[in-house]
Amino acid sequence: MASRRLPYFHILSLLLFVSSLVFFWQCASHLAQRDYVAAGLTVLIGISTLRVGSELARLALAERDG
Amino acid sequence: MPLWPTLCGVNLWLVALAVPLLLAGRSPVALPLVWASLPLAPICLLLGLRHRQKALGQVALLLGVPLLAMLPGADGALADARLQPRPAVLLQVALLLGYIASVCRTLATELPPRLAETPPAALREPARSWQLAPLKTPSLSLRLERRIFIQRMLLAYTIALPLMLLYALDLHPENLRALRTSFGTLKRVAAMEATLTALMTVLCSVVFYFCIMAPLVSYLDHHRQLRSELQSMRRQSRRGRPRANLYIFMLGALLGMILLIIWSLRP
Repeated sequence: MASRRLPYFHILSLLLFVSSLVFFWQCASHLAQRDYVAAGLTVLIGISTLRVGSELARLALAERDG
Repeated sequence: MPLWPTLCGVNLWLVALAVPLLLAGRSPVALPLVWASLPLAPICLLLGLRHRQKALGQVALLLGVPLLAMLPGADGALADARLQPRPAVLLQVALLLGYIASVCRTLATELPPRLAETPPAALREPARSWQLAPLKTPSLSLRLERRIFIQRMLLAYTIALPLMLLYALDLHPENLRALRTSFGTLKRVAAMEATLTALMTVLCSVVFYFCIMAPLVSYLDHHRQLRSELQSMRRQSRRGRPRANLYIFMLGALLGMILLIIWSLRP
């Protein structure tokens, strides 16, 4: 039962939100180097990570509501 | 006849059409069609002001007069820089804004004609035995004050941002110099400025409609659509299974990483 109470989805979605920020940071550095293809790919990864995080946050809410 | 709409409308017609046409009158550039369209704007203004309580009159005032006063001036012969110098164009823009603002104010503040001309019998003579006093307005709550402040800020934002972009595109000296060095001739620079201004107008309209008007309309509707969406999302979440979006975006992220690795390993 203790393992069920671990806010697994909370932690995972938080990690994904933070990691998406890292991707956006990488995108800014690619833009500074005028590497627009890499910047676009990094934005794609960042947005996808953000969306996966939001889906997991939704699951976390469902888990909290019981 | 209301003063400010008449004054601004007549002046707009004079500055935008009548004066350039008279200046070009003796030269062969003045077209007969433009001469024929000269009296249309004042006629439209007169009819619009007379029938301003009807929808057709309001359309004539808000759309007909500006279009009839300004569109003939866009004709190739009249769009000469000598006939319409930059100060005159700025004056036209100021008059157009003043005209639209004064017409909107007049239409918003005037009573409907039935109420204005024939008040009901109960309103013609006030009851003498009654004591009339204005209702006390309750003090605004902090929440309401905050909401009013945010809406005023939104209003200021919707005015300030397009004006700033308009200045940056059409009047900022450094931008004009850069356009001139990039495109060479004055006509090409003017065409580029017009295109950019049109694009900016479309962009501002879209942003205004979707980012400012849509939330305000949703607020007036007590966020009915948003609440129904939230309810359906909650129902989906209670099933405890992730939606297909989770897998799609995971796949997107993985694909992006693979492409990024391939891109960074290229020779």
